[in-house]
Amino acid sequence: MNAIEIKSLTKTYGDFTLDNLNLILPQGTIMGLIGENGAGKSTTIKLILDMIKRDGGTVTLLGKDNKDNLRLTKEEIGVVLDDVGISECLTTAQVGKIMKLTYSNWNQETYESYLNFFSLPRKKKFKEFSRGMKMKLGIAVALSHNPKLLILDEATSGLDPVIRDEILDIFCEFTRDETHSILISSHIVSDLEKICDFVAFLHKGKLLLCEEKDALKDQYAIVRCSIEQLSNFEASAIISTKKNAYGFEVLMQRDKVPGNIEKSSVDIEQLFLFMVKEVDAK
Amino acid sequence: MKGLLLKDWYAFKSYCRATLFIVILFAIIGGIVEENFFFVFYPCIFAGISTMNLLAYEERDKWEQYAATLPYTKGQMVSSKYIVSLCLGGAIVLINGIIQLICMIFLNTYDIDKLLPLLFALIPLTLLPAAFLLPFVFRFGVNKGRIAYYIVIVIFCGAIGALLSNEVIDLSDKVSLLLPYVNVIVFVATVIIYALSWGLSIHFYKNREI
Repeated sequence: MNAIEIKSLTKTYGDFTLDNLNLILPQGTIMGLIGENGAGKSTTIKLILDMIKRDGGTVTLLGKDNKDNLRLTKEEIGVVLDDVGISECLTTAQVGKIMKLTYSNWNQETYESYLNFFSLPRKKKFKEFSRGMKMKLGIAVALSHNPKLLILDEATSGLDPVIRDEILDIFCEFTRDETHSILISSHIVSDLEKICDFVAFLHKGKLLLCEEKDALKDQYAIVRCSIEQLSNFEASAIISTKKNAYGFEVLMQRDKVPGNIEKSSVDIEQLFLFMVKEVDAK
Repeated sequence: MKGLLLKDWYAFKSYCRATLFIVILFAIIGGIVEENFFFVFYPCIFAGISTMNLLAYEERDKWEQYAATLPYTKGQMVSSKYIVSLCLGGAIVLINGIIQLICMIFLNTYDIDKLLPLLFALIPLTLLPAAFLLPFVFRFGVNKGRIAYYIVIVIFCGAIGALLSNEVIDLSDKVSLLLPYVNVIVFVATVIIYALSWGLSIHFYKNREI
């Protein structure tokens, strides 16, 4: 079973359109939704959770249509939003009591252990927390009701590298259970590169690519070359080019790079930037 | 929905403590002074819009979006606010009833025929502000909803004022016939308006994008 299946999802707001999005998140995997600010990441997440109305398409969550008794499906989903959204007047202890009455499978012991792990105080109000502490509390809540799916919208942005690393480790640990999956959106591509099995690139509401991360690394390479060398490359092998002070940087199909040319591995951020540049150039 | 109600209780304790203090203080003053209607009624209207204040804090904290990710329906989210408003109204009537009764006993002015109509009058005063305001808030959000509410109230009051001043309608005879039943009529009307408002808010919120 797939954790998330999105088919032909469309949504228009003013001059922005999320255009015919198709995505599949297999169970037991982590998918990173990568895109610049305003690319449609949060819109996609809101549509998945039926917080906004779609203009077309379907969304299936844990095998169930998201229009079909979503309240029950949400029992199995943990969500962390960019702003977290917990009321500022609440303490962590009060949040625990509220969630105990909210989720039928709430596990207070798990919650307490996350609060201890994150060193979150019990009596301090949410408004007195730093951004990192707020995010940790959001994550502690999301993980304490035995969810099968985590949906994380920019859950690591604004956090310092140490905290980010700790949190990414928790996410990796979560997906060691093969029934658990994560959809995580971020514009910090390095974070996603560390933990994701699949990456999806969104740009101006369009899906540029959705593939297994390791396959992408096998499929593409970066070549640094002169204009003469560039003109000798097979046109169909070139994905995108960038001119710099020393010549050209070219994103190419790895297996079509001529043997005498030095090629280097492409990281996800480079790949995203090249693809965005190519789309914008068209 | 218990979780939402508990959250509202914590928020009320944190943000609206002063409202409760004012209701108690004014109820005591109202119990001591004669012609006490202002002291008893005013804080009730004030308390009646506390639910909207809770929604304003929720909007600021982005709780609305967060709540939409929790296993609640939009109907439950709206209903929790109407239940809070009912509980608040009940608490205000109870507090006022107890304080007025104690004051009457101490001042030797106990008169059940004065006390009961006073308490009856508090029910619409605490519930109707929320009943009129909440559908606007659930339709447009707190800020736009508040403005829309004021516009509608001004138009409504202006229209009524214009009709009465022009003597287009003269209901005084008919109203005087209904006076003995006014408490019951107002109570029934309050219940009907509150129920309609509740349903309307659920309808609006279901169609609203969060």
